[in-house]
Amino acid sequence: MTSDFALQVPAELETALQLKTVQYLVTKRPWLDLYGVNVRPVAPYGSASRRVNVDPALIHRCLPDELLFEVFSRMAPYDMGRAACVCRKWRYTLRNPIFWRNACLKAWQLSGMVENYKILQSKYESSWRKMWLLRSRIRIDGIYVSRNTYIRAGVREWKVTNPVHLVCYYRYMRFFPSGRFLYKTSGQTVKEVVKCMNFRASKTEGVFSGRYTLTDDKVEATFMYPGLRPTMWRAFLRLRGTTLGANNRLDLLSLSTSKVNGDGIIELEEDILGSVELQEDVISHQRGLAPFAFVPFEEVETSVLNLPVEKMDYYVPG
Amino acid sequence: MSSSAENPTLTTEITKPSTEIATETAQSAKKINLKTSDDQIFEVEESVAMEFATVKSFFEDAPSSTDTVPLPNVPAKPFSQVIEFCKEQIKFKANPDETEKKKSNSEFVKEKTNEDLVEMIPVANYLEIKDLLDVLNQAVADRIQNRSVEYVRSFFGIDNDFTSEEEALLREEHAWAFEDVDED
Repeated sequence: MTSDFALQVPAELETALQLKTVQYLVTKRPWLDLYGVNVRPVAPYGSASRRVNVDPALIHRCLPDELLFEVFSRMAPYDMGRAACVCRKWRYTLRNPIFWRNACLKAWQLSGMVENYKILQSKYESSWRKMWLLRSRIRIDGIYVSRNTYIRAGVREWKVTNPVHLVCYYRYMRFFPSGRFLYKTSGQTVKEVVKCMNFRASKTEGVFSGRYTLTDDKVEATFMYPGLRPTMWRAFLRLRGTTLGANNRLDLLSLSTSKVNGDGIIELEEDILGSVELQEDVISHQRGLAPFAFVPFEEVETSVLNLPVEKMDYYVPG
Repeated sequence: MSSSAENPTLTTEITKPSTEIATETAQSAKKINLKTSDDQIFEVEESVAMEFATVKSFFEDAPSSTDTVPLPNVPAKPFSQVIEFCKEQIKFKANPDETEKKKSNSEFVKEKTNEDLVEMIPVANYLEIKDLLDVLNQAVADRIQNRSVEYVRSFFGIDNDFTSEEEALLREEHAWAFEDVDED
């Protein structure tokens, strides 16, 4: 007997069944059972070759992968994230880094393309998906709301001996990818305010426009209250999320206003901090520093933040 | 007004050799027969048919052919809707009005069922009608905007082929996308 049984087999002519009959003559080699069996690589679950029957979904029957790709490339990143949970085919399609690269480059366009690529390599192992998930970003698809309440003692009237008012007001911030933002303080709820949070209304409605910068998870935002002696409003904020990658909270770390000399205002559009000469009297604000909660535009009508103060006396953004 | 109307004809005369102009003017009112995969023949005005880049190149390759153009990848039902779209588009070619065009596009999309939209995409792709493909892809993407996973599945009739453990894991991984989803 030759040591290698396989050599004796006239290639592919004998079936595995016949080999078994001469088993007693040879050393046991169980893998020989595989001869004649049609071994193929296992196709991914849900792929066309694995399924014998037709895919019940019309969209899968009609659209080849490249057309499905086209549909996905027109979705917002948040819709893509949910679409990845629909079925295997969609998940595989959405693994394509191009989707996430586009989302990332849009979200951090302020950093610039070169810087984004550098950060991608140094911090996120060249994975755009990871960067999208882990790097802090300011959301532009909605409005950040900080709901503040305080108690004010009222004046004694008639039979009311010890009146107390619960006062509620909101800070609103809406960010734009260009590096500008809009700010408004108001007693109105979010569904009213969202209508005037645009640059067109920014002159009349008490909406102020300024500029912000984002470094890691820190946001620095400044704008000018106009007037004869302009006041600079300046806030330091920190981005976080209730879940990983949500970026739906903005903690207000510090808030200050300061009078500035008139000289710097000409260059206000360029760089507020660089051109303005600060005076000594910086007022640091200690009240109304409730964290901002993010309300996407689709949620503006239904958000709990619309509840009046008698229905919700205190809001914990979490 | 009259001068601006003359200018375009002037430029075409310069850029195109004279023989082609002759055939083009002769064909201007002509109809073209297009045969779909299920053997239906559509008689389409030439101006509409020229919106289909695939058909156009067919005629560029063989300008003299007058036979029916076979469209083996195109079923009749979505094709009739594609023709409807292209007829609308041609109106905007003469006087481009972006807002009107957008309005007409969104109306076109609005009255279509999901099946219609999805079936039209491969047709638009095969015929290389870029405008329509853009409109359709956007429309499909918009229809599932801000919707829950379950909604999307039932919307497109997609089977959930994840195991429950896998799905739980995936949802955890994508938790950031599940904030603030619309009610189904």
